[in-house]
Amino acid sequence: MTTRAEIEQHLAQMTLGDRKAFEALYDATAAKLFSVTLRILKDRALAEDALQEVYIKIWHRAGQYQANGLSPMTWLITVARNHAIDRLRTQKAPTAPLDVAEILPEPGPGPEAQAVAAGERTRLQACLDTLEDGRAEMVRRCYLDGATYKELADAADVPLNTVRTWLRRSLLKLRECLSQ
Amino acid sequence: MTGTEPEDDDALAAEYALGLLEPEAARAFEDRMATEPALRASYAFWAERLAAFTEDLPEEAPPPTTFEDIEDRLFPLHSKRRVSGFGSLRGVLFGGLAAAVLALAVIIWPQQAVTPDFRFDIADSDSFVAIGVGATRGGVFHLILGDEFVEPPEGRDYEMWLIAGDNPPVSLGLVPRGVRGDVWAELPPELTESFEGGVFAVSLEPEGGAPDGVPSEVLATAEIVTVG
Repeated sequence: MTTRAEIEQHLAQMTLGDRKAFEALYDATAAKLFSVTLRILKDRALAEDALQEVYIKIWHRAGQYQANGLSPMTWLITVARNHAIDRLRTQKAPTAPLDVAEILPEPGPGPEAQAVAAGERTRLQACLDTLEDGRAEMVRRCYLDGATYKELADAADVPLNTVRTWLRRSLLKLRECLSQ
Repeated sequence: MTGTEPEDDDALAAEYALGLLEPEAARAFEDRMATEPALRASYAFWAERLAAFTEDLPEEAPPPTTFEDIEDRLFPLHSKRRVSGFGSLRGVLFGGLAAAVLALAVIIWPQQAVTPDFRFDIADSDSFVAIGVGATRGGVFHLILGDEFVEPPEGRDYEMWLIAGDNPPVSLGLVPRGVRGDVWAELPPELTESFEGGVFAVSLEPEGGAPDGVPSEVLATAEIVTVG
């Protein structure tokens, strides 16, 4: 398990042009970031290509990660997620979505990784569980599938503004719960 | 967005973090974040908490070639993989490698403005016209191929060279084919350091670059001018 300090060290070295540090960062994080691009793009070739672009961005932006106050792993995940969503939304003619089970590979994260993250994930879920029915799934779909208000509105068969009102209210409730 | 209540901003930050804002609203939010620490903190809060969703995703190692592909795209002039594919290191570095290389380099561009430390132009010779070149000491190489640039004849390539002092010419790679405009590539900084006071040359070579690693037919040269 690569620690936060190690990832920060790799990023700092990368700003000096250290390609070994880049490789070490890649080795420590690629499986995680690939899971993100795969989930969002739901197409293996697209996800691989997006992953390459993600690491190209990370190389160029290594010096900027602290500017927004994110932890290094969150920053890396955010770069990967945002890039994959951008790709998803600019695709003119998306291929028919494959069944998720076909795409998402076994095995899961190692026991260490699960143990470390379990706290955050459990806490998020506990707060999601306080939301009204269906709202938690909306938040999850936005994050993991890049769903838009329009898509959520279409799926729920309600006007877009209604979905926005629902979700904003839910997010504030979530924020309150997560802040406790 | 007109919301100035803290609550509105928290919801807005969440929408931004989730990617729910329209592009224009997202840019406006980013502009505000640049000057409002509270908004940045709110965004960071959401980004951290929401990232926990990714724990639902099974990790998977990408294909073993992916990292090499990334390196090829980032550092086209010194890819480890291509080197191993050829018998002669010199032939690789100064010939075959370069062929693949600058052709690939077109997909790369710096994320921010690059101020060159060196400039050199080859405006005109009988058979070769109009390329402009810049480089930084840090290893960024910038080639500009104007609309008037004339491609080499079929089966031939233009190769670029650095002649530093009394040293033998060092290949900087081939001029890519079928490309106009800006081409960016990365060179070892040790190499760009030695641009100072050197001469830039372009030669006509068999396809793939000089077979012996020395220029065959030099078409044009230019003094490298230090500007930074």
